[in-house]
Amino acid sequence: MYDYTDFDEAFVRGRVAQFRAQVARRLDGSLSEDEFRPFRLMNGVYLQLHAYMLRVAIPYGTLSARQMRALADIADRWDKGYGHFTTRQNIQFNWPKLGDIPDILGALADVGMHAIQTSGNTIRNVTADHFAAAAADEIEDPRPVAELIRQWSTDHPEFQFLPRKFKIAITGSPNDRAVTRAHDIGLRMVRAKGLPGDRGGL
Amino acid sequence: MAAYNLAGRRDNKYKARLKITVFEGGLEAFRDAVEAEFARTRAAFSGVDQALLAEIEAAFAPPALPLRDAGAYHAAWAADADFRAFATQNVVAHKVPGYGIVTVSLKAHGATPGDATAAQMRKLADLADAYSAGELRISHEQNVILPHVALADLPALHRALAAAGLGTANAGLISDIIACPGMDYCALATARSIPVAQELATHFKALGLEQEIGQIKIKISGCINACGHHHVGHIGILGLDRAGVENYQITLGGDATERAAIGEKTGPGFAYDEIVPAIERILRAYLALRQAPEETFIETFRRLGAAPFKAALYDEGARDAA
Repeated sequence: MYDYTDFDEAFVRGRVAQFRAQVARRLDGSLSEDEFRPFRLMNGVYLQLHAYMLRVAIPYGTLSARQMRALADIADRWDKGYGHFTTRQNIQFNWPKLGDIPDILGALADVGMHAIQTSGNTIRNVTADHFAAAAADEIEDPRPVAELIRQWSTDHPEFQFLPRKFKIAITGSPNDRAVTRAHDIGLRMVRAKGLPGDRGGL
Repeated sequence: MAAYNLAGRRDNKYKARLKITVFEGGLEAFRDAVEAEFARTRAAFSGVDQALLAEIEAAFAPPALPLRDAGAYHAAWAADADFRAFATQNVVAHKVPGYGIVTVSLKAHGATPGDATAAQMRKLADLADAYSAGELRISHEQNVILPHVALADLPALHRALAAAGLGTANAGLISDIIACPGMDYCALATARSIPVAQELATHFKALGLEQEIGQIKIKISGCINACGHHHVGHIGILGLDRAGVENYQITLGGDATERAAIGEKTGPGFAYDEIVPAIERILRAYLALRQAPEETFIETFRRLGAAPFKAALYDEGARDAA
């Protein structure tokens, strides 16, 4: 499985520290909800009907046992003992207290996770076939390309304020389990003659 | 991305997605804008960093999956009907012989689709370590996948899942519903989604029709933002607000696969307490119309179109019968 590099780790830790200060200013009243809104939407925090909601990214829907345990610990410690898996392969916590969210983001960073670009008018979590690297009908694992797109799109300065949210999905199988035809950009691997090593093309 | 960033509308958030940009300006115009952008930036683009891509690919190297004796699997298959149901419904072929991909349903009948308790998450983590090379997946269908399970381990895995309330053998069946959080949580929602999913699941289980109906995708959204993907459900349900009252619009024939299709609206919507009987009328029509049990709902729909289903939905006689 792909583990975050030192660069990823430093970037996520920096973002947690920055958001911690923004939350502190919201809680002491120096930021209004209108002023705070763009900051929270950079970090996956929504204001829902009854509470704040934190949406955590699960890139291309792949996670380790260690990461799943961290999600369980967050649900127990800072939410109501459960989480909700979403139609973009992410998880939402529906009842966090705003003041706890920086600590939750810190706990996520401990296991190489974050909530960046799970909200706002940005390129959202790149989704992929949930049977990737296992499916019998697969041409190639689509996740390396998904990870490449994640690295390219994360904090991309040109695409932080798009007209609207933007969703990309990728599949490496002819049987499309990733709904690629109903995305802003759908990527489908196909067998292409003439590519080196008889590799699939996009 | 650059072409969309320039051309996408910023005056109306409901007209700002790429699909509207392409719809309003035409595909050709958008393609030209992408080509122009590519021509402008191409000289500076030397291709994807191959060393970086190789590094990423190495990180996704598949786990070692040694050949295992599948005797325990065959023994459980012969002896245990619950195991047979689970292995048939929730396990598909793996690219490595002797292994399977297991879908752990988060759609126990009456449960909130996609919810998992902390205890269930910990159990899934332990089972991933024991039986799936430490790896889990989340599907857009709101289930958890254990991608690399030896068939030899499947009986033990099934027992452990069942003990944790995670053994529901319904992947791909009528109770395996995608539903957005809807009015129970979401500030944008115009209607509830979760209770509709719960009632559909428990209703068809009580009727004993779940296996009989077979493979079908029902998808429910509680507003036009469509987080529940209702447009591409075989049966899509869209919850709207009509003068303060929840109203559910039905679409038929949507498809999320490589044969993608947008579902067709059937006609007037249904009140909250009418939606489950309405879906039952559609499915009783399907059972009567299919050529054989092997013909799935979407296949019957493709063969016959929406007309017979609309008749079942809105015809007064059929309504009295259901």
